[in-house]
Amino acid sequence: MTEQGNENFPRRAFLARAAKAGACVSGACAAAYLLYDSKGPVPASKKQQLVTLPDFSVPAEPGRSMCIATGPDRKQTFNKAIDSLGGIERFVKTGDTVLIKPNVAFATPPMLGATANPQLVAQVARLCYSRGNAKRVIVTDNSINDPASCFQLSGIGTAARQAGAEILLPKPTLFAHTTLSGGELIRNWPILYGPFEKVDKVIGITPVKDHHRSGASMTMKNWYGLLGGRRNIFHQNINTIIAELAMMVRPTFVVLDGTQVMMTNGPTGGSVSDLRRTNTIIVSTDQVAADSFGATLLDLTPSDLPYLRKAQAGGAGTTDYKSLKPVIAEVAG
Amino acid sequence: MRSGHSKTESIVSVVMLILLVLAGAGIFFKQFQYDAERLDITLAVAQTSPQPDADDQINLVSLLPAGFAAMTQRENFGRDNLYVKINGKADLYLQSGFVELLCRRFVSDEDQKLWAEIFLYDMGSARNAFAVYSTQRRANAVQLPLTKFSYKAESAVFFTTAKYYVEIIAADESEKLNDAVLTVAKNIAKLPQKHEDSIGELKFFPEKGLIPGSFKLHLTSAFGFEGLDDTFSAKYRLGEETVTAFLSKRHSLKEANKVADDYFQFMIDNGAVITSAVNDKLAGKVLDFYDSTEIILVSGNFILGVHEAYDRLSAEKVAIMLKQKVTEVAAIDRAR
Amino acid sequence: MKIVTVRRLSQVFFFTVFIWFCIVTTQGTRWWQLRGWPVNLFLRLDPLVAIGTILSTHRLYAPLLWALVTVVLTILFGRFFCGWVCPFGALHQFVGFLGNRKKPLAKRLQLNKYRKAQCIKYFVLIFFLASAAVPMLGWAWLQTGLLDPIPLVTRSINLTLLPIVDSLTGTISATPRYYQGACLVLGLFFAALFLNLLIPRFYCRFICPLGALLAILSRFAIWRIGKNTSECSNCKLCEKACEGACEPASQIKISECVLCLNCLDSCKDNVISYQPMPSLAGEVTNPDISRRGFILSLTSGVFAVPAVRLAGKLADNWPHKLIRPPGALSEAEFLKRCLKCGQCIRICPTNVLQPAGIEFGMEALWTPVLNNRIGTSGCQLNCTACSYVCPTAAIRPITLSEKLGLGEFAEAGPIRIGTAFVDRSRCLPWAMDKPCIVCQENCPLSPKAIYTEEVFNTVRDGSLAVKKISALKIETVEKIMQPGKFATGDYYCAAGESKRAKITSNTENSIELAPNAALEKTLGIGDKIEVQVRLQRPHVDIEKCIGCGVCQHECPVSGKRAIRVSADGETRNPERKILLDT
Repeated sequence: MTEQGNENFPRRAFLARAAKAGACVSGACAAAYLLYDSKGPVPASKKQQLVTLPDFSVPAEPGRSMCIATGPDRKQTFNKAIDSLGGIERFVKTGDTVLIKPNVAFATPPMLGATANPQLVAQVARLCYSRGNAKRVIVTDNSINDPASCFQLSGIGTAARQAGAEILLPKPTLFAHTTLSGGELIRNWPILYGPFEKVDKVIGITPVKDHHRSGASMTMKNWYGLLGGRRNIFHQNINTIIAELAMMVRPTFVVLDGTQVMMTNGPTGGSVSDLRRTNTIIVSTDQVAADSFGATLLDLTPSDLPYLRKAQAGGAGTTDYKSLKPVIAEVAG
Repeated sequence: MRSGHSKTESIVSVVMLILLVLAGAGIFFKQFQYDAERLDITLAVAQTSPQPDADDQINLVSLLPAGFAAMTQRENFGRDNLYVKINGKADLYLQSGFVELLCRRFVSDEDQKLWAEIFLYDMGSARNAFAVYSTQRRANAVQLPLTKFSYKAESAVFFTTAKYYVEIIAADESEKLNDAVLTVAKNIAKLPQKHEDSIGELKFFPEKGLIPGSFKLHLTSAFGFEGLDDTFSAKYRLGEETVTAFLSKRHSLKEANKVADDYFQFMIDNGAVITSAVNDKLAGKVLDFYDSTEIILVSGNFILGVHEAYDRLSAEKVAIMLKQKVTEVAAIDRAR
Repeated sequence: MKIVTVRRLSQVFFFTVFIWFCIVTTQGTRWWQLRGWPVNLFLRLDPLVAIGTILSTHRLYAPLLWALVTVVLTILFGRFFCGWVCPFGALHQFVGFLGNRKKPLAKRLQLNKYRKAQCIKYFVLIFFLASAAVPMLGWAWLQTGLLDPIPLVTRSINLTLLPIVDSLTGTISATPRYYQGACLVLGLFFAALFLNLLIPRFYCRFICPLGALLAILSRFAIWRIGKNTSECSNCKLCEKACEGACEPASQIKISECVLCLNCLDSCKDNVISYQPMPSLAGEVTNPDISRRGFILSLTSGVFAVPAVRLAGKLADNWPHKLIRPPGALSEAEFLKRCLKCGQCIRICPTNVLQPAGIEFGMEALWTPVLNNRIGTSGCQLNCTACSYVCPTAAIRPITLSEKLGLGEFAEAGPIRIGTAFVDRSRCLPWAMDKPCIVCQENCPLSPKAIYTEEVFNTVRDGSLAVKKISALKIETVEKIMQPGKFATGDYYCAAGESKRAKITSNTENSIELAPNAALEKTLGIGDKIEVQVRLQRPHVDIEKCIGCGVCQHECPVSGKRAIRVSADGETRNPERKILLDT
């Protein structure tokens, strides 16, 4: 832009420019005032926005919190078990969004039993839609191996999609930091929080497995897949972290699949010879009770797994599963 | 070039110059405001030497043997707060010219149970250090070759070096810790000292019959007599009984006589009686104090004698020996 | 008094003050040391620093409020900072004057003509500011310091010119200072200076992003240079020494004018003045920023960040040798603030703080990093100097209590800048069975973070047979020992599992033992003995180590050190911790 000056110095032009200059000065001052930071930066760890997982449990009904169903076919056994507790309708309401957290830790075939059984996951998702009238079913896990290949090779990806569920693979933006109140380890730690936003119900599905570090990997250990960051660090204190995970996640119910249990070489297994057929599925609103019973399938007692006692002390459930008067059901094969 | 310049220009120029001067002045005055502690280069660079934990007086950490490390930060106590550290005993130190106490614990790298604490008392002078050392000497002491005045008792080591009185007290009687304590003690004893002040009076005590390590310095009122201050004593054993010999240097012969007379009178007042001496030289100087012998003599500027001896012969022998030695040494000193 | 004289005085004044501030940037309270000298004054007055950090952090760090003074004055009066205050500008002006004063008038007029390429500096500015403001994934960095004249000249003087001068005189620093990659800093500095011989104030006219920013700010300046009458002889003398190449003789480019006022001084007819009205010859007020150039520089600025971040240096591929000084913010936040001014590097009393090269990521160039191979020692336990000179709190000011985790910081513990690791394949007692506890001895912590494990190992060819024993002397059948070799106090003679005595001296076939009742009595002629070395093998207590690097600095394996600090476990990036909090 050019401005032509002349002897009759245009007063208005000057005033206009002075006004603009004044506006700039006030703008600069106002911006400085608004952005002024008298304290300076604080150390990184102190300013994370923390999130907390909501409680997804449904009201308890006496005598209908745990079912131990036996049968060779997972689908039928699960149906039987969930029906003994009041049917899926008791847990999933019309229009709910349900998050299923299966164990998809490894990129191993379903046959090896290192991951949740795809047909079982699909059946749970199907029931949520067909009888629970769920609006949406999401399946997620922060796998140890590459998540995409884990979902593909474990067969859970395909099976769940066929049942109408969405697979949500973890990505950095889905993680947020949390601190478990009363926790020692889960302090300002990133968890896979994104999928839990706008979710009404949470279901955990996992097989019974031997676990080298902790003794056994079952429903409580399944939540390990929600941890982000360099979570291997927690292997230094595995019992406490499993107990804290159980305290952190309050699921609607958990499905512990003991149709085939991994007796040795857990948690990855690697051979069908590691597996033993025990034909049991536990559906429970109390994950500690489910795992306490699950321990017996591995020829262990609840006292062999210190995390069970820790979780009970932390209020996550009871190790005395018999006190829940579990429903015992059987499906003929 | 322009021929001249306007008045406005001059005014603006002067204003600008004033602004520059103001800026300069502002900077100048700003530089006086600072937090000296934060900028203390000694704090920052003192540790570039291999022994980073520098104390202004003695770097105790540098004296630790391999395998041991400091367990606590050093603690300093002055005259005002000495009682905090050694509650009951503070007065003894305060009366003996105490300046400062430096404490530090050290511990074995391998076993947390193996720790010991160093008490380094700056007593201001070797004399004062010796005074607190000698008055606290333990009965079960074992002489050490560490310094002239050093001994070991149970799991602790006590000694003086220059103006310091040092105690190192171990928490455990294990040999490993014991060795470490001795090493630290040796290292402290080896430290170069600025002021080497020895204690002159000790050379006046004859060596024959002297019980090693029995020297004592009474800074005030020796043997309960107020006038007898700054007095050394030593124990002798010639026969069956032990004899305490004493010696105090005064400023002049006159003062020595005065104090000796006063002390003599003090003894009489308290129930002592003049008794006959076996050795004629001591006639009139020997007192019987409820069956014990007291001898009070003067030689040159020195008051000397024997205190609380239950064997008169030994007592007189020691007194004669002491007087002879004092005369001899004083003569040698004068000759120099 | 002539205003150009005052302008020159002002330039000399500010340049001198600036150099003085560089000189006093050294730890201490003597009048020529840091004291209370406001060494950050120029960086604080620099609006590019303030605006850059505002864009990257969305906050205005309190001390940078000083920039508002420059901003307001520039809006009202134009680019006075370039012509009157900027020390780099003064230097350019001086070199340009020296280089061009003998050239004929026509040549000088030619040199001071406005060039289209002067718009480049705006694109430099837009590029830097765009990359500082990249909103994606919280990615942003501050790279203005590369070319912003104040950080540039601060860095150049502090890290290259002063150490060079001081190495000849030795007045400021007792030992010579070393700065890795300093020649690149110096190269940029001299390149900028020598370009003045080509065209005066080359850097200011074509490159300077700060000048560009001030040019934009001066768009509505109330007073500006211009002709006060149309009766001009068009002698063009006003452009002979025009510093900004803004062409006051014709239509003046307001945004290019640096207020050197040489035109005012050289006009014979008093046609030119500093006035509130537009020049009667007409003026160009808008900076020459083409739409195409704007979009190009903006997009390249935006894309530069993710492009450089492709290297993953802020993700899993983080450079473990990048040890930042205590108080440094987390790496992402640090890069949003660091100006690369080099003051922290300069003030570091041990010279361990160094300008980073591009091995830590392009964006980390010239930012402070500890190099424990350089300097007189590692990071000193009781020193927080670097945190206090940082103008933007990229290294936030920390107290000694916070650094050491004392008092109210006891729960948080000391600030760890890394963790030392023993390289057992290089460590003398670990790999070569040679006694050495240098790292343990030098660990400044209390209790020490390095502890040792005692081991007795039989030396090579150390298995011998007894030929004769007399008192403490043992003669051996073999004649293979190097005389005196085992007399250092580290060697022992062992017979059986637990019996061992220290060797005090040896010849080729005999050893003499320190008094130890047990050993020589149990030995008989023909018995086997072993010469053993007593080793104290160092271990790092990972819970105590703060990564100061003193051990690495002192390690006698002077090439690749046998104990090395890596940034693992540093406090500032909690995701890099090794251990669980307990």
